[in-house]
Amino acid sequence: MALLNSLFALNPEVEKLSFLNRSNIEMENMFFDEEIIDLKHTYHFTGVLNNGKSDLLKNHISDFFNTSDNNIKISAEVLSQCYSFIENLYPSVLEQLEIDNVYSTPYGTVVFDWEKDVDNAFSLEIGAKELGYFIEVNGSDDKQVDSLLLDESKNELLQDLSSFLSV
Amino acid sequence: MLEFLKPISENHSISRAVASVFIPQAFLKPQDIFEKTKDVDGFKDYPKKGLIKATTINIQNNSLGISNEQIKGFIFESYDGKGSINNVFKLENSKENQSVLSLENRKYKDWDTFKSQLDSDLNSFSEMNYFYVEAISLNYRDEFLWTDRNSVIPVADIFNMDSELLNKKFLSSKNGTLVLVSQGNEENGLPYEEKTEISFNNDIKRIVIDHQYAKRFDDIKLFSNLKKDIQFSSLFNVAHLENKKILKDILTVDSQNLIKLK
Repeated sequence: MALLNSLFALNPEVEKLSFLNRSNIEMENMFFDEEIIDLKHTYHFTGVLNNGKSDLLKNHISDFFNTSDNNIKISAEVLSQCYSFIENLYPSVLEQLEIDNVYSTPYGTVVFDWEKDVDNAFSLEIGAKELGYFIEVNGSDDKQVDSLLLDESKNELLQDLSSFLSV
Repeated sequence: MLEFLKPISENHSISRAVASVFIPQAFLKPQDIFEKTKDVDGFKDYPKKGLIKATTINIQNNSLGISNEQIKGFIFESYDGKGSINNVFKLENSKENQSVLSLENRKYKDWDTFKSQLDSDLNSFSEMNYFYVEAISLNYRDEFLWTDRNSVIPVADIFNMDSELLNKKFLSSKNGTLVLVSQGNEENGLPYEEKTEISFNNDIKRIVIDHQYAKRFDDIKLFSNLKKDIQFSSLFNVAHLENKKILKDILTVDSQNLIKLK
């Protein structure tokens, strides 16, 4: 398995949850050059494609699931909801999300913040069943919604996000 | 027994299909390619067009930092009637001497529809840009949800226990992943690479089968020459069939019926 791990990213759903695979992604990248005399180096094409940022984001969120720190721990339901959300996210919207701006709360929810500057922000909170978000434009509240179901409201959410980011 | 097994789409389980063309060079200024490509008529069905930046990962005091700097490609997006993502057409410098042109479809209808979109997009791109092709690949991701949180995914009813690709250890896991990567030569002598990932996870109640098949041409070829006598997309037919073969091998007949696999 060790041969495969660093070049072929497994599906994040599984890889990031695996106890055996807890090495830091940044470390893998750092030592990548040193591992180059490896059998896997003969594979030129199947290792190239990955969903770089969404995998990174899933990895980041699965840390909140795997942690033993109750202040930031999330449940499998929240993890699953976040994965569904990330998979639906427009690639262009994902581009503009800073991984540092995704964090878990003491309530077991996960917050995603898109910040253009201090006065313009889009903040989304995902829980086990519901989600909510608010949009702040030029320092004042533009929209706030709570208790939405992801399946029912994802398109409205995505369109709000997309138009917030393109203004 | 499979009442809680839900393919990700109504008629099939394909959550995404990605066709990629490997170009044996990186583009020096992707923003220039973007500027001359974005207004081509064939891309008018992509309402959103933008550049993509390289995401570099740094370590600062043991924490993960991400910074966006260099432009490494562009991305065109289209949506379905409800506003969900439909097609993503992308050019991305992947290595110093390689870039990848790809079409990703997230609302898969059928192989013919996908192929005609692929031909149309690649032809539109080639109107403005000459490029060489080193290899092509096709990736399918099939996904199922297990909708009952209180029961364990019945692996034995979903996967074909007699498949030679699967083994006992995997099938008896709580969360399991199998990865198989192989290289070989097609009947026509062209080298191929194939990667299959089969996984299920009881924490998030999902089953994912990810298959990628890449083939390399014996020499780098100009795209415009490759498509002279044939539809370029027909070069992907073998990869499409290999994907079906894998699914037929590893899924039980009940699961196959659920996704109307023929």
